[in-house]
Amino acid sequence: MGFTKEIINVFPERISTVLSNIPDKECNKIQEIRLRAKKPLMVVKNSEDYFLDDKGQITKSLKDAFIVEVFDIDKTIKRMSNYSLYSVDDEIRNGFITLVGGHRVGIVGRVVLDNNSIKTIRNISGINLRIAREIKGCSKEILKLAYKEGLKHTLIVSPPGCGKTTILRDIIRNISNGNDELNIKGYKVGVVDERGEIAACYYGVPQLDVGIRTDVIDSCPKVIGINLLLRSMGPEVIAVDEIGSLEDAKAIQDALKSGVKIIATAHGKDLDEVKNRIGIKEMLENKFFEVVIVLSKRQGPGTIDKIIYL
Amino acid sequence: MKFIGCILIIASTTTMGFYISYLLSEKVRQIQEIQYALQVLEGEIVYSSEPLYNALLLVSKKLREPLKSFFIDMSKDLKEFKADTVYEIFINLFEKYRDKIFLNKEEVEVLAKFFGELGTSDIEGQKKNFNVTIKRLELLEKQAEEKRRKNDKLIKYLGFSFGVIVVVILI
Repeated sequence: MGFTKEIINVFPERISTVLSNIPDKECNKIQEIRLRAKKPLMVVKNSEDYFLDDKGQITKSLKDAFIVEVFDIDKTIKRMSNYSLYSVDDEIRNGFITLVGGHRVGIVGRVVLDNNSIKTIRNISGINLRIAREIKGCSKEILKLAYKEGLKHTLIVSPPGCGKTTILRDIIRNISNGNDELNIKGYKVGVVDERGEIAACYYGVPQLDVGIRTDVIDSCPKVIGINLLLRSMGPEVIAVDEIGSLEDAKAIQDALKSGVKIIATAHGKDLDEVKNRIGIKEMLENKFFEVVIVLSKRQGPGTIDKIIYL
Repeated sequence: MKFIGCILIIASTTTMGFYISYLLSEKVRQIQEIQYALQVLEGEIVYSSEPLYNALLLVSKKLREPLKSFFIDMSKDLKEFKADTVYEIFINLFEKYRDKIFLNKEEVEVLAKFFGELGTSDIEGQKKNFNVTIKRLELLEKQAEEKRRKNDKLIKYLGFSFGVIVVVILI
């Protein structure tokens, strides 16, 4: 199977022809597709970048590379927004759009400011499509090791691209569905998906499988989202992505007080590095988390580096 | 026999006159309906941020033929990514509806411009696009209505008189 129709469709003809010519077995390994104005069309495969020539062959040689024009990017953005840029205003302001199927599109360009916050991004010059892949069962090892004696407040730490979010999603799915094999009953899980990466909601509906007892509040700031879930949805577990600020710490503290288990992720190479972030430092010092899982890329994304019990 | 022939000729030219006058009034109705459609569409876009294909589909439910099918088809083409821009999709589709939607060049241009802007900017930009287009359409509607009012009776009479003239010549 090559790229899904959802991915091919968002590109204008010039680019979609190239992409649909990529051999099937290569497609499955591609993690990112990158468009930059007047620069070669690139794909990231096994964490390394390659060019594409106009026949869809993956190559390392720059001189054969297919060059992306400004109008290609312009057309791509229009298609990605379903020809409705106004409907993705807020998403563009945050620098990304979510596509059907949960693929994330990062965008850069010229920023228009309004009172020090981004009003919109114009003249978009770079697009990075990150292909969402669900790897079901990738958190089995972690669940087995860390949750032997029931759920714990968990912090997952890893550098970008090591499968933090994929692992978090799989944990959510497993504890939400319940897993007899691992002796996990199904819990009510609330997910605050600020950046739309966990459940990848498309007009509110999760595009990725996050389990049957999961409530997702989409593109909501963590602090507001956690409080909202606590107030209205009665979750037993709350999962959030990429925490770090002091406000996050505060919101999580509220959740802890109400007896909810927290599963969170943070950017960082290891525990010492994330400790530099003021919010996480606060949380670790106050023993918010019971277990910290450090991931790395040593044996491919999602390698468990360390499990630290605090 | 002659008498029946005369009646037939007069009847057919008169019908022709009435048909042309119907076309003129239908055209006015269509322009009015387009204005109404744009107002509903504006609501869907500005207040609910519906994506275009969905907004058009919702609007189509409140319209009569042939605009109803036009909006449904447009929504479908957008959903299937038939072209790179809304403008292209509109132009291609309008070609198919040319004999059902009675707009002249100027009126089509206004719509083409409107669809060219549709969806390419934020809400503020969209609002402006709607305002400008609706104003233009109001003007065009006035012109079409004026034309219809002036020519309506004339065309009907002309149809009838033409029939009479033909009959007189033949006899």
